[in-house]
Amino acid sequence: MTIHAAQPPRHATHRGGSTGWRKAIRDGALIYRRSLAQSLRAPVFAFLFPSAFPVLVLLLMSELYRDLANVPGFPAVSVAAWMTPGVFLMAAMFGAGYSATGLITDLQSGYLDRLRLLPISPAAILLGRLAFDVSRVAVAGLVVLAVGVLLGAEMTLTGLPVVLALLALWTLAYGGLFYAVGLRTRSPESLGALIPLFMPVTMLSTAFVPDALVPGWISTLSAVNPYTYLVEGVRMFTTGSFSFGELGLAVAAATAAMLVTQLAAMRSFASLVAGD
Amino acid sequence: MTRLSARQRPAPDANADHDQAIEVSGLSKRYRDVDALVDASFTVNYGEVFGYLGRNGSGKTTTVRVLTTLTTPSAGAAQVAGNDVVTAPHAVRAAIGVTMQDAALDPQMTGREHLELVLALWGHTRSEARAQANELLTAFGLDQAASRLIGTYSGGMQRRLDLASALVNGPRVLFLDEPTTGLDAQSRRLVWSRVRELRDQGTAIFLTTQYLEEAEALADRLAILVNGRIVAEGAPDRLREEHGPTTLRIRLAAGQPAPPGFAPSSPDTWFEQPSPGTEDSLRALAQLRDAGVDLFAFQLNQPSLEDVFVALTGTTARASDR
Ligand SMILES: Nc1ncnc2c1ncn2[C@@H]1O[C@H](COP(=O)(O)OP(=O)(O)OP(=O)(O)O)[C@@H](O)[C@H]1O
Ligand SMILES: [Mg+2]
Repeated sequence: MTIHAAQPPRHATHRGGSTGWRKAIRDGALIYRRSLAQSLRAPVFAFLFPSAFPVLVLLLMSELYRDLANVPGFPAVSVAAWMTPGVFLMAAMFGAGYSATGLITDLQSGYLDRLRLLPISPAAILLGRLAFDVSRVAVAGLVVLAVGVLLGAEMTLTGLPVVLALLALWTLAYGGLFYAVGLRTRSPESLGALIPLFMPVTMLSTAFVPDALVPGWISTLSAVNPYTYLVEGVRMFTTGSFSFGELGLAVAAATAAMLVTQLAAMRSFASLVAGD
Repeated sequence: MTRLSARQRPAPDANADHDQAIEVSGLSKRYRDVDALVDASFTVNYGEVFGYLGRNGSGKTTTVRVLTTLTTPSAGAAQVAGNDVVTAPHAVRAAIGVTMQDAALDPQMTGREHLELVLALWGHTRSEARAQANELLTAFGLDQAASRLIGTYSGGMQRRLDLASALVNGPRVLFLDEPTTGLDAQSRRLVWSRVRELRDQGTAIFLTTQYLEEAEALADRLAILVNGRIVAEGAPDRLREEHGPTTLRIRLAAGQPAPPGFAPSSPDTWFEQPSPGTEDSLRALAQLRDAGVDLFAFQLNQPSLEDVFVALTGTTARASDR
């Protein structure tokens, strides 16, 4: 047997090290495909976890607090309808960490070094993963939303792309925290320790109980919690009360949070691929 | 780079007429409080296997990481395929193939998916990638396992896949970090024959190993690394001559006492003395004859690489970690 398969590609664009957008997008798509193939082979953590837990929360909490809807001043038809937006966004929170863990595993196994030796733009490694996170969480979000609609929440077809876009922003913002911490500590265990963070973030917001019915200090914290603004942004579409101002606030809050976490993540990633 | 080579250095893209595959001068790497590599200098030619021998923790992987641009050196300079590893890493990467010590493969992908991804990242179209992946899988005896997850591959199969993906870009310089550690004899032979083929095609091969047999079998030249320092470098035969304790052995009639300067050896009638060189041995033999000693036989024992290694390091090649 002889080896003659190795033939350099005719149109290799990497030779000078400059890559350009088209190559970055193409490489990102390849990384996306790898993530997709991986997730389809282990769908429990990739897809079931981010949808099953929020659905469970929605079913149990809306039953537990069912009579809250009878309290004077409760602003929705049912507790389930009220809770659907917050629980929908929880898909992003339970989906966070999955892909960041994958990246840390690649780092520890040396797979990332292998990628670095290939003519791939480093940005594509991260962007491919992030794009996959967004679509994976969107699937889970749709499942949660369907359950919410069955339990009485409204959802218009025109609103659907908007709430999915908000979910995407929240995926990048909340998930960015996991990437940033994971890339800094370089240990998958640290990401496990971050999972309970969803509790304070969701409790100290208007996701479960209307602002009028919570103690003052919780209301204060809720007002500085970006998640609150996203919940209210989504809620406009599940209660049919649209306003551009609220939507703008939701987008601004999510974008600000995303910039903070993603910039931190990208900084760590850049120093990582620069070598030691 | 904090230390410039006194030697003439070629322009970064003068690789076409540059005949050295790897050129290293004064290369050092320090990790916090560990000197992983200290002042290494050597060259590797095209069409040559350069063996890099050292026990655990001696700095083999560190050298590979620096030469493959994964890690930046603390001092010194290195050119690979005519390009500087620090200032022109992309040009270096385009010209090299690498298999790291732990075949870092994604266990959740199939062998074919893996090769297709690597080929696609090298810029091949989908159909090219598919065709070349199939060729490589066949060439490395993995066509049967192509659609199985890599996680189900044996260690030897993973090594072969790793080697196949290192050859995708037709590298002129190939780095193999302990390519046969943990392989059975048959798989090892297979890797060896691939390495020889590539060498004969003009590829320069930098091969680290802890196995003296492997260095002996493959390396045209080798360097011996101890605690991050290269303590010897050259062709195996030259190293044997220079560093090995050659011994002069003589056989006398039964019951004879040891001549002056000789120590008893085994079997009983044999005696030996270290031989600094052939001339010295001839002189010693002449003296014995002049003294009237009855000489039945004599031997000049060449050291093995193992002896060289022991002489240089005071330990066997595969002693425990430091
Ligand atoms: N990233 C790192 N940070 C700190 N120290 C390191 C790092 N990498 C290697 N070292 C140290 O540098 C020294 C050389 O390590 P290296 O991995 O190069 O040895 P090696 O010859 O490849 O060993 P082995 O045969 O076990 O693979 C060791 O003391 C090791 O602990
Ligand atoms: Mg090593």
